[in-house]
Amino acid sequence: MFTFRSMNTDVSVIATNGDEAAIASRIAGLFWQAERRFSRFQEDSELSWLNRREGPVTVSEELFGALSRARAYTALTGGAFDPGIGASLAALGYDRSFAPGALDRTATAAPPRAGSLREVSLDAESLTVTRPAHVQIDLGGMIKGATLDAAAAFLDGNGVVDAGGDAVLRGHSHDGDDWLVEVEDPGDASRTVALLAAPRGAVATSAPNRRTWRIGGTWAHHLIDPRTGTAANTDLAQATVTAPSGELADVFAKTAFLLGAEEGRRFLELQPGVGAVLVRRSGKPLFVGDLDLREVCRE
Amino acid sequence: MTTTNRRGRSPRVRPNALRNLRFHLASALAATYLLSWWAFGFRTSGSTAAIANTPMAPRPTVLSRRAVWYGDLPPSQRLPVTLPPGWRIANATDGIAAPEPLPVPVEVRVAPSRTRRVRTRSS
Repeated sequence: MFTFRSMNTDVSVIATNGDEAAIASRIAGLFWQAERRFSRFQEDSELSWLNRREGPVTVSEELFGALSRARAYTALTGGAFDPGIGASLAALGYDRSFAPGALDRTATAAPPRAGSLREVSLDAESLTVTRPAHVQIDLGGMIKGATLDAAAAFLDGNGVVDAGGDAVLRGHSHDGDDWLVEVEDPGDASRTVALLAAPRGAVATSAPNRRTWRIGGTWAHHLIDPRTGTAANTDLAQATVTAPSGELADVFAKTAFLLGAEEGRRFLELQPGVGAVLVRRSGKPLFVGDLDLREVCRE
Repeated sequence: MTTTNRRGRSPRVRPNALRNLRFHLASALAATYLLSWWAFGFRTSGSTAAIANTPMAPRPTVLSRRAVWYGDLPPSQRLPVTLPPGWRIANATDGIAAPEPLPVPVEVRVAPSRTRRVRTRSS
């Protein structure tokens, strides 16, 4: 197994076919390129450049494609997933790369006007993007999922790429068995909620338990509800989703978390090839859709 | 004749008249001062306070709107520029931290039983 650091998380690569070191290097290059283009925290990334520009601007095919897909997800999820909330994230204090304590503050800036990707116009003919000034775009986890999908192409049908708990899985392990996915207990990281036989796709988890920071006497987290522009407050402590691709798994995990247990379950059941483990705040898990459960560690 | 007598007398200012003149002069000056103070001091104090309480308007953005980095212009629109020795054209990215270097993966040895498992969690 090879590991490297990118997108402010640890990425590990297991490739059971071919030269694992060479495959890991190529995948590291992919992550590096994606971060250079899409990071909200690198001032010279293309996304940061777009977030500073006024008026119509021509962007790369990669950025245009990501924005087009993101807008389709915004429509599909009824606005629960919306990367136009960058200004709300920044106003809440998430204005730099996360590290424990780095975002702590005594007060926040006044809430900005709510932004939505639906207000951004995209012209596919000229690859032109016109962004209203109050809409700041944060593609965050969706790009991590998309990069995992691109990385999976280097695995030659067998292996795993795991980026901080979001992963793509292909084929079988070294001994020919199925890959297994442990779903961490959001209330106690040393425990597991359930053990799944891995789907032939991807898994992603959304929870506010790691990226939290202090604002005076209260806590904030990074999962913003686009409908309110504030940190989401639902009956879920965590949403884990298995899906055919890393990008879908990330988008759906975030959506399910923001919708809450019942509405999230109903949404996920409509999506083909998707399964989920939703953990309520009480700790009780809710299993949704297409899952190969091997062990339930917490009822 | 009385007239002749009057003409022959040298003109004299009576003390009461002088006092009256000073009084009128002082009154006129005081009135002018009060009028000026009312017109330019008292009356404007409200609007001055209002201006002081008005948030500072952003500086005109004409310059920023019309300014463009040389490197951002299409090559066909870049005018030839001759710079003095040692000078260079600044880039939009000047002053921005150098990008992160390409990460180099390192090998980690783990027990074979663990390599089958992926632990999903928020990150």
